[in-house]
Amino acid sequence: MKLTTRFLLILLAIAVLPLMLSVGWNIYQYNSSVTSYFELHRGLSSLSAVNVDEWFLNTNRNLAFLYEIENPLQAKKLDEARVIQQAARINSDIMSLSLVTRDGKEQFFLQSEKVKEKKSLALFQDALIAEARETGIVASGEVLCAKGQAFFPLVYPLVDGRVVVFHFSMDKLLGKINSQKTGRTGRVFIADGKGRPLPCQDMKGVDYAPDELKKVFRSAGRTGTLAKFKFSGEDFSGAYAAIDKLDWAAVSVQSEDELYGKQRKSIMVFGILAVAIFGVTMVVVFLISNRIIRPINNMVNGVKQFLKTQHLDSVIPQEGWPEIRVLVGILNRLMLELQAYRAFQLNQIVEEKGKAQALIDTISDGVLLVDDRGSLIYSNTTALKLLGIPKISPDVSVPRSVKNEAFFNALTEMLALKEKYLRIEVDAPISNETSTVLKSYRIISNQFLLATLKRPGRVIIMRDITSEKEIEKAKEDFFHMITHDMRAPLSTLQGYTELLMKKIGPSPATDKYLSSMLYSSRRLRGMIDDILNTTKLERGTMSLQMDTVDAESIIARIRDNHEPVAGPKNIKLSVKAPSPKIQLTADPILLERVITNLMGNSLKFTPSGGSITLSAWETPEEVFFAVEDTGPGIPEAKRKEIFEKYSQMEEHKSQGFGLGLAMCKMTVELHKGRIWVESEVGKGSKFIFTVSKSMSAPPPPVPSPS
Amino acid sequence: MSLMLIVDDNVEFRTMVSDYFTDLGFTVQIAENGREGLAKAKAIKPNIILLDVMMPDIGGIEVLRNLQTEDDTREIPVLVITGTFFDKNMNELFRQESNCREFMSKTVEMSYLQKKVEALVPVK
Repeated sequence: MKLTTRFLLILLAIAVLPLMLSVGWNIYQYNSSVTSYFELHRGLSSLSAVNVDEWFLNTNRNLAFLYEIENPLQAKKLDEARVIQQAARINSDIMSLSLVTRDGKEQFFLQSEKVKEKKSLALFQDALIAEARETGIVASGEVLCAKGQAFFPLVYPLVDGRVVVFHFSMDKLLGKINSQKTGRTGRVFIADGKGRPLPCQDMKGVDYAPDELKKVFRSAGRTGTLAKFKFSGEDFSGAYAAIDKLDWAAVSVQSEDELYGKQRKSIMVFGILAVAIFGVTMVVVFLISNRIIRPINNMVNGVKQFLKTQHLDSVIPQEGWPEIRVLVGILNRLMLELQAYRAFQLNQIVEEKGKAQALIDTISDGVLLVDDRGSLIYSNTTALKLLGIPKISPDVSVPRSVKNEAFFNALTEMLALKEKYLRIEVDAPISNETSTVLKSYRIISNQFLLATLKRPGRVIIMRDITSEKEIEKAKEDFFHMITHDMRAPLSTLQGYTELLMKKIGPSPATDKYLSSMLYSSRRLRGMIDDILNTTKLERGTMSLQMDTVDAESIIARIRDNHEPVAGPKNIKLSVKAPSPKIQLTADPILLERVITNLMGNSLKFTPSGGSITLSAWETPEEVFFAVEDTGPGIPEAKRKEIFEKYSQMEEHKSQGFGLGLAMCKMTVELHKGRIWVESEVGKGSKFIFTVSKSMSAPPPPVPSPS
Repeated sequence: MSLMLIVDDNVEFRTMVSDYFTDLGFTVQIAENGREGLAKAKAIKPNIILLDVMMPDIGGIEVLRNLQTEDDTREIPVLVITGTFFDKNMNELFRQESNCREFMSKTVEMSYLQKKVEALVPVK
């Protein structure tokens, strides 16, 4: 439904509906009052009819005295005049009484002094007398009005051919009936069978056409109603009731104007009001639609258009009432600002995209964004070149469109996996203009989620690790060099020192010099070994050379090896020999490296005058080794960290590689053992490690040939 | 006198080892490369051979296998001493050969080497 229509209907409902209701109510009221007014007049007319009937009966009853006159068998001679006089005296209604002889002469007449007509009223009734004589039965005639007095004539024929003419007074009756006035215009009157009103009734203001009334009498029954009946040119309503004995009717009417005038008027007023309000409503709706609805429609269409095209082609016209105009103005401004903002945002996005593009295109890694169905969302030129995809287009998908076979296989394998983070290395032949080179790539893939994707897509990064691998190789070569070219001369140095010590024999000077030489070369050799061991341990390529080791002899040897350094530093080295002896299976060289490293650390940090104690003990499952010193101790927080590679306490940064403890940890773990430190800051540290006794026994010694 | 053959292309190391064991009373012969080592082993039939792994002509593993092919040299115990950064596989490879008794690094202490040699060849 259109806004205008809706508005119209709402207004109509508000304004006109109550009016309609009141009109309806008025009409209902009117109808019910019509009914009740008819009832009223019906009642009045019936009452009047009954009155007349009774009066008539009464009148007839008065004629009884005539039997006396008619009965000649009675013995005494009647004085007719006296009888009549007597009768007239008894009945006050009899106004005039005449005895008319056969030849029409009035034998005598008797007339009340109330009658203003001094002549005998019988003189008016020749026709009636003739009728009675002819038929021989009582005849009644039309009411006679003489000098303003109404008389009902009745002619009674006597058997001797004479007639008695009566005139009954009707003034009382008619006066009573006519006096029943309802309201201002209500009237009751008696009409005869021809519809004429009985004479001598005051019909002032109620002149009417008797024929019309007669028609009404004919068409209806004994009683009936009158509506819109013209009396003196005015509409009257009312009712009548027939008076059977006289072929008369009592009629009660009242002016319709008086009866229903007010109601009719109010119906009319309300009707006119309804029409007027309807008209006003129409005008208002038209005005509103001009001033509000059209601007609103304009706004709606304008905003719709703006949302559709994302561009403000034309501003919404400012029409209607001031508030609406202001609203339109605000809306226009809002859209303009939104457009400007959008443009700004777009610029920003384009700029950001440009930056990102520049960055991504500059890095040497191939970068791909693949959606959940494998379609290529984004990639840089490096990636396209690597994969052999000519151009990004909607139908490019990964891995289907990948031309390079090595990458195709790798990506197929990769995208089939569900893990969030994937990493794979692949060797792929890459051809440029001149040649084809085999290069190594590391492909890293991570999931990402966009609002438009149902399932996560993948970021794929392809990194050229050829040079990384070359560096790795170079590092290996470097280690090779160290071992092959550095260890051999060192061994020579060390071997001759040992030989020299044996050859020269003990003397304080040579002892000190040579043992220092031996200690230093051993230390250097130990460091080289540690580097190599760490590399092997990290790669997991370390193999243990198992042998049976005596715990006491190994710690004693290490104590001896470190005497040349501990002595001058005034540090006391001691060994707590386990008793009984402990034999265990381990890699003796590595085990020695572990204890030597711990010893070296303790020597480094223990101040002059301190002591270092080496000890070993066992449980059924494990053999324990401990190096306890009186150094500065290690704070709680650091006690785990120090076993990590290259981790060193800040204040000791300059004192070594930080490799030692990490190597120790890995070596101990290879022996299925644990390593930890117990320490009290300021008092000293105790490094403890274990070697599991479950380590396999060394291979049985090969019997010597001889 | 126990006879020892050292097969090693590294002059410093072999000289030192030779000096060390001569001092202990061994008669020490030296071969500079694999072929020479094989020839000398056949000729002098030493009680023990110290063998390097990396050599310019034929490597230690080939020498080891060739020694096994001759009846004269099959039983001679060999100690493989390598200066190379060796890995587990290499170790296993050598240990599978029946005449290889030990596989050790050149950084070994002479006293340790002496102990191993003396365990295989009792000093006379």
